[in-house]
Amino acid sequence: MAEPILMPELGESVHEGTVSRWLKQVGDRVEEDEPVVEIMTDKVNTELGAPAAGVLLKILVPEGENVEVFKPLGLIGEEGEVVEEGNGSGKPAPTTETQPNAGGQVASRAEEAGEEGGRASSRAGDDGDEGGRASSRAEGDGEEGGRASSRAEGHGDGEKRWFSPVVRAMMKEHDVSEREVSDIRGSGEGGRVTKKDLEAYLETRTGAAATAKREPEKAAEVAEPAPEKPTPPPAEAPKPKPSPAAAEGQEVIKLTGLRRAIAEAMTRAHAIPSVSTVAEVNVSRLVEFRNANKDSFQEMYGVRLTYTPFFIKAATEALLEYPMLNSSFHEDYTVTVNHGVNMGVAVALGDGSQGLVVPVIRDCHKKTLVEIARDLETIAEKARSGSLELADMQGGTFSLTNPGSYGALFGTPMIPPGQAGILGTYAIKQTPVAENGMIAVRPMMYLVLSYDHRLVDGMLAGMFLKSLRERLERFDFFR
Amino acid sequence: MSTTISAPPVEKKNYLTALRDAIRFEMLRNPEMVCIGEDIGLLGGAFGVTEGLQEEFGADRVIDAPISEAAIVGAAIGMGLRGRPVMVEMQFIDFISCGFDQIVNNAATMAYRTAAKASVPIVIRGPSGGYGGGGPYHSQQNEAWFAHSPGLKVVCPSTPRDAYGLMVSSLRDPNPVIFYEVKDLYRKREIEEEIPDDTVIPLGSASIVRPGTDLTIISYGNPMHMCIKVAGMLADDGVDAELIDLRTLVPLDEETIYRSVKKTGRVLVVNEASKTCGFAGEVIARINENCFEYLDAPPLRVTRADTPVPWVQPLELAVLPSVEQVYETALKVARF
Repeated sequence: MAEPILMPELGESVHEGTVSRWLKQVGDRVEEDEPVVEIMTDKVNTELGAPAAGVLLKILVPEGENVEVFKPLGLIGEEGEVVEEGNGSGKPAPTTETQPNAGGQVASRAEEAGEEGGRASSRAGDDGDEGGRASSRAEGDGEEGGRASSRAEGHGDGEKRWFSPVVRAMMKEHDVSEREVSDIRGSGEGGRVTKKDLEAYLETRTGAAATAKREPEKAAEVAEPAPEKPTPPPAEAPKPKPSPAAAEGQEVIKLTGLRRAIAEAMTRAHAIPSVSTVAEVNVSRLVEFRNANKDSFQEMYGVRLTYTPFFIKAATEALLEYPMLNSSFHEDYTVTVNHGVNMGVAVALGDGSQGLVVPVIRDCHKKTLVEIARDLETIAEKARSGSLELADMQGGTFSLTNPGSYGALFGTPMIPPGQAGILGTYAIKQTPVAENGMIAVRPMMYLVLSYDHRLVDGMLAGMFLKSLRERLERFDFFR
Repeated sequence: MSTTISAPPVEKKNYLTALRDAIRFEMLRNPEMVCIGEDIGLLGGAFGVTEGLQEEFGADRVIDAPISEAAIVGAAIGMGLRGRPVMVEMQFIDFISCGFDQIVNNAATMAYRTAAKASVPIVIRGPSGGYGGGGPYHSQQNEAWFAHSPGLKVVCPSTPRDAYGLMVSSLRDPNPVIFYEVKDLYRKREIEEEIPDDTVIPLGSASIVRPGTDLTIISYGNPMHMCIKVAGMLADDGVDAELIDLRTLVPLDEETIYRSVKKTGRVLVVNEASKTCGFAGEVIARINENCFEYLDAPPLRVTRADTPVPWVQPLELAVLPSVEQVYETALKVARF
């Protein structure tokens, strides 16, 4: 009896994941717990092990597709075992859906290997051996075989088609085969397919995505009609409305992985009835201290001293004073009030175009400024190098975001679901202020607190901000 | 009875006046600053950049030097080490080679040799470039020599405003700066512009002269103006070119370059200097290192031929980059 590989619950607020890579192909032998598939959620890549020893019989969720928690990703069973539903039972959807994908994979693997010819054809041979298992598969394998050998031929001729680096990169990104590209009429020198040609092609392809997702002309070649459904059937989740076709000058991009996780989290965040309150703070002492000590701080503690650790420290102290802001609302109208502070810190990835993660600094209430600065550097580094683990992102009781780091004057942050508030710290600017009846120039900044209005009223928020402001204004490291 | 208060009319400045005003502005601002060079005092400089400065600031601060570039640069380094910013004029930037050792071995390395305890705040500026029939000794654009020597900053503005703002930044920089002035642009009326006195342009920031989507053209100095013309011609061909004026070669604004190339996937670099080891080659090498996967066509360059600049004008123009050459090469990249 085949055993399903189930999508586990990888974290409290993780409802689904994306299959980033199948580490085994259909037919490969696996040992129990041997990694078979890589899942991506909230920027964390996790490998899932096989539930039992055996052979990977079937892939139900192809690469790039999403899967809900507790849904099957694939099936493991005995070699030669016939899978009841799906194959042979006249339901073409899952097979034809996974098929083109597997084909694309062979091609892209061969590309990576560099020496395409030999490798591609030997792989095609492997697949051919297995091809007899199911009739619909055999067809697909024939397709693969033909493709690989035509590639090999091209290589042998020394007439390999040349693609510019950007076209190559886009083919990889959008999973477009060389064959597909060779059918595009190029506008470049000698009919070469340019970036623009490929973009235009991808637009039409995305437009046609509702019917045939990957390779329209290939789907036409397959004897059976192309399946109507864009996604494989294992999940009975309601299907979202298909996106509109791209018009000229547009492209439609499918959100996957981190971007999709962010989009979902933001939709949930938006459901929290929230308000923002603003306070202005004079951070003269903080700025003075940092300027005077950042070098010696680095020397003594080996950590770069930025403003964020100060904000975390002060916010932690204020949260202990006003625990309702350090709590979590539940749908049954109960509240979990936290007595310790785990601070989520928003970290933008790359140049800001690669999304944002909110790793957590644990037990801030037990930590000194130096320890917080050190932890912050560690998680920020982990975030940037993509080595955060799920555990690093979980258990936050409150969050902090610092748009001031890119000069933002003012904004209204959104509350991470499961928390009661988030503090935004904004740009420190030299500003003329009235002080003792005179105008003075002081480094000023805005603090913005967004809070769950079900739990926190304006007055409480104001008191929290006042406490925070006073802590920052009378800051003394040696206190 | 009514009074009308109106701002004084802001006069437009040419490239040369912009330079003079920037130098004067810094002389007024910093009483420690000194100028030194051949004929910069009594005569006001061979081209008139320093006209009136000796009269205004005295012969102690605007010094007429003997004809020895090595001595001039050496003296400037000495004053610089004592904390005095120095503006050094090379009568023609071609003559800078006579002071080469002082520049690359002394000035450039000082901060490194002293663990940054000493620095040399000098700006060596001078008229550069061809197109004027100046012949081999008065037409060079030798910025690559200095861009190749770590420790020197290299600047080459193409507009009066950039000349002003970059000169101010250079004179305030604690490290040696080689400042290439395009003498062909000194008195060009078409590019005159209003320049507020407080204009400062930081070193290391390129400017996007014209945004576009199809092709990135990168240049600096005099050829920048050719590129502007070419962008107009390309627009007629349906090619939307983005123009980047590097303004500073060292430090180089790589971010602006890469952002543009990643967008267009096609790039042409134009420099006036000769081809081999010219700065265009450096820019292209970095694009290959950082943007390879974004390229849709091989990056090309237009440069001077690998010959000295000939005296005879038809030959000079044949050797130097031309609008036609830039246009044809740009089309080649755009149509690849």
